[in-house]
Parts: sequence; structure tokens; C-alpha cells
Amino acid sequence: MAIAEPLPLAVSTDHRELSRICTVTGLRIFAGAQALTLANAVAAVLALAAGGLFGTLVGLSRAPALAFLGPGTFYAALTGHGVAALVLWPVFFEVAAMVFASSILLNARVWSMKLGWLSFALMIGGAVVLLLTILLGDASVMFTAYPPLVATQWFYIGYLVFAVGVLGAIVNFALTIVAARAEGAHEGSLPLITYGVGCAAILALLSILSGLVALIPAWVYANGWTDTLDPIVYRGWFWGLGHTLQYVNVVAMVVAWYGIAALAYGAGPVNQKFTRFAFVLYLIIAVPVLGHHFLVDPSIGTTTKFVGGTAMGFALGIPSLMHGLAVMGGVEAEMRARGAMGLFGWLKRLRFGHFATASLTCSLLIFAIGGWSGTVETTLPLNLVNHNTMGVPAHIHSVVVGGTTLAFMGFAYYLVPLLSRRRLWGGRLATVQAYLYGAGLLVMIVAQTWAGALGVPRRTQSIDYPGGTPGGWDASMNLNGVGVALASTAGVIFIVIMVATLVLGKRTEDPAELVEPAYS
Amino acid sequence: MDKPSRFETPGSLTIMLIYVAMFGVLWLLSFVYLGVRWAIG
Amino acid sequence: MAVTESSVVAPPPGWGRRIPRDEKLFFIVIVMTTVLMTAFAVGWVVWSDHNVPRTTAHTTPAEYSARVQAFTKRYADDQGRAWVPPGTDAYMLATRYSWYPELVVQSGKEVMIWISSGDVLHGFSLVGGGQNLNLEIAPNHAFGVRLTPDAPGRYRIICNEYCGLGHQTMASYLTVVSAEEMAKHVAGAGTAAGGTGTTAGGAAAGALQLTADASGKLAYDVTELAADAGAVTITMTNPSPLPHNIAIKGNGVDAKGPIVLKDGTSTVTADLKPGTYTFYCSVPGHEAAGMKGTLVVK
Repeated sequence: MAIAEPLPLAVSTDHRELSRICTVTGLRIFAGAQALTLANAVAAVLALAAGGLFGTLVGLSRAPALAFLGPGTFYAALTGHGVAALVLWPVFFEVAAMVFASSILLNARVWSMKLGWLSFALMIGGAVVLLLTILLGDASVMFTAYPPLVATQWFYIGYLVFAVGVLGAIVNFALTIVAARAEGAHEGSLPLITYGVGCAAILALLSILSGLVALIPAWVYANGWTDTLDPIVYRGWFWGLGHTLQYVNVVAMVVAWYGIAALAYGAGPVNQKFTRFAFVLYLIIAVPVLGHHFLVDPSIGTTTKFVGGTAMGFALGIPSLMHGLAVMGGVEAEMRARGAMGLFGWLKRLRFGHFATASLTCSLLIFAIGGWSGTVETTLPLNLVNHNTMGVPAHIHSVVVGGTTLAFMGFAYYLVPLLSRRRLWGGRLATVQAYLYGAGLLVMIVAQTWAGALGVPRRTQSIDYPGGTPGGWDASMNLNGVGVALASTAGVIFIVIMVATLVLGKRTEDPAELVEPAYS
Repeated sequence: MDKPSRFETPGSLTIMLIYVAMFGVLWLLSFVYLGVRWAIG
Repeated sequence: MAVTESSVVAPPPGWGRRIPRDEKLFFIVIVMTTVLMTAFAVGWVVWSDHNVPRTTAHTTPAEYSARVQAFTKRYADDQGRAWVPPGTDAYMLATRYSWYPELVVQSGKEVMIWISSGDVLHGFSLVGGGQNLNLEIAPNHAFGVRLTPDAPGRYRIICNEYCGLGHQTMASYLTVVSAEEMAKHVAGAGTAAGGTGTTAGGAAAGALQLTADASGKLAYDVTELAADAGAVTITMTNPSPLPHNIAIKGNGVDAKGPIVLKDGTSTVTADLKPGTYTFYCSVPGHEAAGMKGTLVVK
């Protein structure tokens, strides 16, 4: 019986490739891994800036008191907001996490730097094509390009090129881990962060495969080479991509929570078995959940809708709740080990003036709100009342912005200084940024929930209907504008801190300057 | 009701249990809201 | 502070220790909560039938359009609103950018409203009066909404699934009237033939003729017409599944022909002095999309 040959190593085992030892974590960081991680992180931050700019424009314009974008500009800007803020920003950051978790965390080198840079180039190329088609007004379709409504063929090509880049990064991630074990750089079970990122990578792979099934025929249809494509079928495959991708963001957010807790408090998850099981639960449940997009669609059976949308949606709350307890419990256990007493004495030991506590607290709290609103909206009879109303953006901004984005921001405040060996610029400004972002988001969420309960539609440029606008609509959307202004300001501050750190931050290897404990 | 000697992280457990309770209650209340609407079938 | 000792970066040896009591208890609580919520939701869906959209049918834009046409012909008043007698199914067509026809239903009576699309996905959203119902409307699928309105009023219908650049103008009303109002109308209206005129073939001699784009594009086949001063008649045939009409405006004139669906003919007549007028389609969003032209009268 032939035994499989060991994987050929793309790089030699000659350990004279450039590396350094991190003075804070003791990890061996290879130059290539560091550069690739930082490149993806920088691309992510730039994507966030673009997505945030588009979001500010549409959010402010939807305040009837301001209402300054005409339909053409609005729908183009809204598409830009969705693509840059919901696809480009999180995915670039997740690829940075994939590089980091497979190489740096394992004291290993990247399996193939060539593949790493090629993937990066494809992702950048795809992103540029996407944004150009949007800016030219040829792809004002948001995420609802349901045939016969289509965009220019270049929009689909942009997605496809980006997706191939991500596939390359996933392959690189897997082979880097395999090589790290083969070379002996890492032994034993994977660190939790790598394990979690691995689950995210598997979900990303499944989403992309679904996306290919949706987007390739859509591209063919957009070129006029076939003349039928059932919108309901397309919707199914597209949301197999779309919603599964959201679970990549949830898993990555949870990983960021653990990362922040480790660096800020020296805390780990309260129990490894419990935590890893919770990650596996995401894998099992995340894909069928796309059913909640069909709850009020015609010609789909009620049982299918209920099982795929409602039941699976409820089940998916279980792993998130488990992680909520594990993260908080880990911090509590660490503080108790350091002498904290009483039911909530451990909370008093945390420095709420530190950016880590600020971002972690706000992220946990706002994600908790979003988890609740998602559960309500995925309940079949309740979906009838909120489908396509502003209640849906209320949920989305809770989980993706309050949850994932704030967690990524908190983690970036550690990752970027540690990899670039520059002190975080602005001192306490990072803390102010996190709380301001959280506050702005809370105002937005309250406003959007209110608007949704009244029936205000989403993805709509104006609510100035002939014959008059229903009562309360204008007020709720004006309040949303206030929240948008606050959150956008905080978003700008984040970008400024990131850029200033990379350009002006004091170069240092002193652990005390790179990582400040967030507890007392 | 908290027994710190038997629970390792009672503070976190308390917070999460309160959250789950609120979650369930608010979800149920949504059906009350629904009940006063027009029914469609 | 050595992060490598944290169990997040590298698990310490023997990390497979028993799961603490807190986590076990919590897991049981959340699984039970999920099971209870699911059971409650199943019960609601199976036994209450309240807010569970089940009734759908397969169709095509052409076939469905014909039904809407027949329904509107029978029940529309002279403003084009279809009064639905209790016990009759109502039909509504969603196209860019209108809901056609506007419906009037009776308070306290269950009515079945069918809705389908003639072109792209639309989002049927009934709002106002504290009532929100939202459904996805697709071409080739008809949704049957069985509802019982409980109070007279005019309730907004808007579109909340992006359908194109005129999406935000796609709005109508569902009017709910009392039993007396409905009875009065049914008694007094006689035939509702005034609502949608389909004149067979022959337009008046010397009448101007044009055709709406058959593929569903929002356009006529001509953009310029000319006529002599006096009584001017324009006749439009509509081979598309979308609702269209022909209307004239300018210099104080504002005349509209009836809105018709597939294979219908719409005619408008106006007494015009010499000058330049606009002919256009008055269905919401159509003129803005380019369904118009110039009429020069000498």
C-alpha cells in the first residue's frame, strides 16, 4: 500500500530567512509573514474608509431634513457602502488574520509568499474593478441584483477575481499550518485563535463556492448570452454566499474577542473544550441558515422556510451565547486568580479607560442586541412585519458594525503596533473612539428599529412619497442621521489613528510602550 | 442564589443568564405585538 | 506580561480539563430555551395561521397580466380604482414603477389579493395605520394574500425591494371602506366599463397612432408627432405586459387616456391650439424614464 508522500516544502528549511523575536509575545515573526499580514490589514482599513464614506453619505442623505442625494447617486453610493464595508473591509481583515494565525502564531513562515502576494494582488484587483463599476454608476444594484435586474458584467468579474484571491489565501493558510507542523515549528494542538480562524476559513470556502454557482450564471446572463435566470434560484445561491459570509465575520469577531482578552488581561477562554465545540457548532449550522432570506418569498414551502430560516436561525444563537460566556468568564477567571472578590468585583478591576475594555465591552453589548434582533426577524410570522424595512439594517449594523467592526478595531489597536513596532498614536484617543463609535451605533440602532417598526423601507433613496409620508417616518430617519454623524466621526478617528501610527508612531520594541495592561 | 464555591465564574454566568431571560421575554412580547395586527394567511 | 502563557496563544499541556459547572448549566439553559422557542413558533405556524404567507401559484407575466386586465375591466370605477365585492379575488400587478390597479376593499371581510410582477422583483409593503405586511413579489410567481382589514381608511402600499432608479416613487394605496360604502358603489356603479377602455382596432380617421415598446422598456415607438389645430386624438396600442396610457399636457391642457394592459388600446382627445405640447405616459415613473415626446400643433 503506497503511503502518501510528505508535502513538498515550497521554501527550504534553511532557517536563515529573516525573522525576529517579538519582545511582547515571544513569538518568532518572519519578515514575509509580517509584511503580508500588515498589507492585508492596511487594505482593510482603506476599504473601511471607503465604506464609511459611502455610508456617511447615504445615512445622512436618508435623513429627510438633509436629503441631498438624487436616486442615481444614492443607489450607487449605497452599493459602494455595501461592497466596501461589508465585503472588502471584513474580508481583507480576515485574510490578515489568516496569515497571522497560520504563520506568526505558530512561529512559522508562510508556506508560499508568492501565493500570498498573488492572492493579495487579485483581491486588490477585484476590489478596484468593483469600486470603479460602482462609481461609474453601472452597478447600482446593492446586493439585490436579482435577474432580470443586473449590473454590468465587470461587476461580476470584480467579485469573481476577488473571490479567487481569497481562495488562494485560504489554500495558503491551510498549507502554512501543515508546513509548520512538518517543519517542527509548531507541535501539539493548535492555539485557539488559529482554530477559530480555521473555522472561519472553512466557512469562507463554502460561501465562495456558493457564490461561484450564483455569480457565474449571473455574469453569463448579464452579457445577454442566456435569456432566463430565475430570480428565486439565483437568490438561493447568492445568499448561500452572502449569509455564510456573515458567519465568517461572526467567527472572526469571536476570535478577535479572545485576542483582545489575551493581550489586555492575559485571559484565555474559560475552557478550551467548550470553546472549540462552540466553533464547530458554527460550521454545522451556518450554511443552511440562508433560508431566512426566503421567509416571505413565493413558491417555497412553509416547512423549508421554517427549518432553514427559523429553526436553524435559533440554533445558531447557541454557539454565540457560549462564546459570550467563555470570553467574559475567561476575563473573570483571570481577575479572580489575581484576587478579585465578590460577584462583580472582577469588573471593577478592568480599566474602562483602556481601549481594549472599551472596544470589547461595546462589541459584546451591541452584538448581544443584534443577536436578539436577528432572532426576532428570523421568526417566520414576525418576518412578515419587518422584511425589507429599516429593522433589517438595524440588525445588520448591530452585528457587523457594533460586533465585528468594533472587535476588529480593538484587535487592530494591538496588531498594528506589535507588527510595525510603533507605539499606538493618540494615547487615550483610541478609547474615546471606541466609546463614541458605540454610542453613535446605539443611536442608529434605536432609530432604525423605530423606523422599521413603522414600516420605513430599506434600500430606498427617499421617503417623500406623493400624497405624504406616514407619521414618525421623518423623525426616526432624522434621528438615524444623528447616530450616523456620531459613528462616522468615530470612524474617521479610527482611520486617523491607524495611519498616524504607521507613519508617525514612535518606533519602539519596549513591551510597556506597545501593550499596556487593561486591568489593575 | 450565587454559590461562588461551586461556580467558577458566577459574575459572567449571572450576566449571561439575565441576558437570555430578557431575550426570551422580549421575543415572546413580539408575538403579542403581532396578535393585534391584521392577520394574513 | 508574557502572553505565551495565556491559553489563547498556545494551549498549556493537559488543557483537556473538565468543563466547569457554569458552562454546563448555561449550555443546558440555552438549549432548552432554543427548544422552547422553536416549539412555540411551530405551534404558532401550525395552529394560528396568523402571518404565515402560504398561498402562491406559478404564472407568467403575460398570463397574469390578462387576469389583471379582466379583473380591472369588470370592477374599476371611472378613476381606475377597482372595487372588490366580498367573495371576489382581487388581482394586483407590480411593474416599474406602479401597483396596478388601486384596490378598494370592504372592512371586516376577508379578501384574497393576488400579487405578481410583470418585470423584476418588487417588495409589496403595506404600511400605515400601524399595519406592516411585507412580501417578495416575483415574475412567474403569484402571491395570494388573505387578509381581513378591520378599520376603514387609506393604507399606504410602497415598494421595498429595489427595482430600479424609480423605486422610491412606486407607491399606491389600499382603500378600506365600510359595508355601506361598498354596497352603495356596487349598486350605483352599474358596469364599470368606464375604467379601462379597450377600443377594438379602428381609431378615428386622422388620429395619431403610436405603440408602447413591446419588450417592457418604458418608451413609445415615436418621440415626435405633428397635428393640425383643433380636436386632436392620439391612440396608443400596448403590446407589453406593463400598464401604460397616453396623455397630453402643455399650454394649460392636461388630458389623460385610460391605463391599459397587454393588447389594450388607450385613447386621448383634446382640443388644441397651435403650439408645442408633450405627450407622455402618466403611469408613475414612466415619463421620467423617457416615455414621452413632443407634439407640434400647427
